[in-house]
Amino acid sequence: MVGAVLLAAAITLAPPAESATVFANRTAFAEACTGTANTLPDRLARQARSALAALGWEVGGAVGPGFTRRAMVAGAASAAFYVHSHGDLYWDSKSGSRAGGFRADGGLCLGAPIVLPSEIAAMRRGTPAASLVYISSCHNGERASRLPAAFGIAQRKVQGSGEPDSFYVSYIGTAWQGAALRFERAFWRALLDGATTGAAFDRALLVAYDPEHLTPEWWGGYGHLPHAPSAELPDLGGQRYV
Amino acid sequence: MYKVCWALSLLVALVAACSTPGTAIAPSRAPLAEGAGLNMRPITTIAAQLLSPLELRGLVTRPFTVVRSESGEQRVRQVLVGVSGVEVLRVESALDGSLRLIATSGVALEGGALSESAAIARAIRHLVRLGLEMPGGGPVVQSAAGRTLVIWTREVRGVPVLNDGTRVVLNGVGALVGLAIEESPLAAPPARIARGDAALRAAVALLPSGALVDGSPELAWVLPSDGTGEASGQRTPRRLAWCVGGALRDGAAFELQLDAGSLVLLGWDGAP
Repeated sequence: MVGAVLLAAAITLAPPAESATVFANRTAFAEACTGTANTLPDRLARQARSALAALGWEVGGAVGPGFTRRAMVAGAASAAFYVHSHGDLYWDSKSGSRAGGFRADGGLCLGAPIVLPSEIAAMRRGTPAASLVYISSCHNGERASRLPAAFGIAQRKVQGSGEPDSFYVSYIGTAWQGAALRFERAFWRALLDGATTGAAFDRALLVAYDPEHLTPEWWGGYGHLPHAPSAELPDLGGQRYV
Repeated sequence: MYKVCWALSLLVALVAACSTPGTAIAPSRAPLAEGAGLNMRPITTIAAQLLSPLELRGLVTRPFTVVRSESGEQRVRQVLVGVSGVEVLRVESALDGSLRLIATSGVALEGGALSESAAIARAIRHLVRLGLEMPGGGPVVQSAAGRTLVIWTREVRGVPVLNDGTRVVLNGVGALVGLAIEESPLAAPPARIARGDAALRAAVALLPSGALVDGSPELAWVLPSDGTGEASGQRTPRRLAWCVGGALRDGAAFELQLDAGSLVLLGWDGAP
């Protein structure tokens, strides 16, 4: 009886295949922590939420102190995932190596809990590869980051035959918020214009941002269309671009 | 050494551009829509310069649209689509006809990496072939996700206009993925520019305890309130600012932008 209740609860809590999750760390960039007002995390999260919703996903998640480590791990099995926070090649004691990851908000200026790729991988065990993962943080676009693998995405670029139905974006080295805002806005706009993920990435490279402030990277299928499985593709009058 | 490479790249590109086969169609400024008062380079002319005759077969132009760019500029957009409705080429021009954006679609991810000087030479070659003005100064070259970006930042009297300038994106063998040209309006500079050390003191007064400034302040033309939530998409003039960088207590980098005259905070940027 208890087992049946727990199973039912697990089924209820598990994110469905149509779900997307958007998290953003607000506290670490707030006036109390940096000395100046900063709405960039809210703006970054808002544009991600709007775009994912328009692509047919049911969007959950949290911005600010509600973005806890527990909430994040619970949402990690989503098919589309966006996070904006501090990121680094954090030490994973289980693997004994620097593995990538990012910090939750937790209402803390400093020392907020770290979410490691191994925790996400454990949460996603048995789940198909994510459709779209956008880690808007420093360092998680580097080869050493195991976040792509945690979401089931191999670190390779495929264009043409054999493309995976998934796409991962993040940044190499230090990523500045102002540059990220411009790049991400162009990426989401291109997706909503009907672009494939690879074409949207190319289009975003053309937008004005300081190259010393941002080095974007991607892995997955260039021609992937990251719509929710049941979503109707937008009516573009027959117009698409690859 | 860098200047020698740069000059060599320019020379190679100019020679390469001048030796383009005679079949290349010269750019022209034919009226696109009579009666609309718009005068710009037709997308078909640009397509003829970028695509092979085989690639040009069956392409159809869509009716042009007036759009607003990421920077808030009003532009005329022309799109060329293939037989299956797939977009092949997008061109945007300012209302005065100046070319602002060329974006090709589905450019192959080629292996190989262009050297810095080869990337500059290829970028210049594309600009010359398209009849575009050569940007001043030396460009920055960056590799990103199998593409190479060659970026000339616009400068006004030696002061950079952040995020303005010419940007050329190439694939691994130098084929054009796209190019973009940004030129924002500038506000009048302040009658009197504050000293750099005064800017440094004003920045320190704004910072929380434990934060440190490093380096010396630098002048730049910036978009005001970029970090504090002003609506984007407006054609806001850039303002002259002192930019002060540093690190917060946890080591995260930040930059404050202060009005060059009044030292009022114009913007904030940080690195997560």
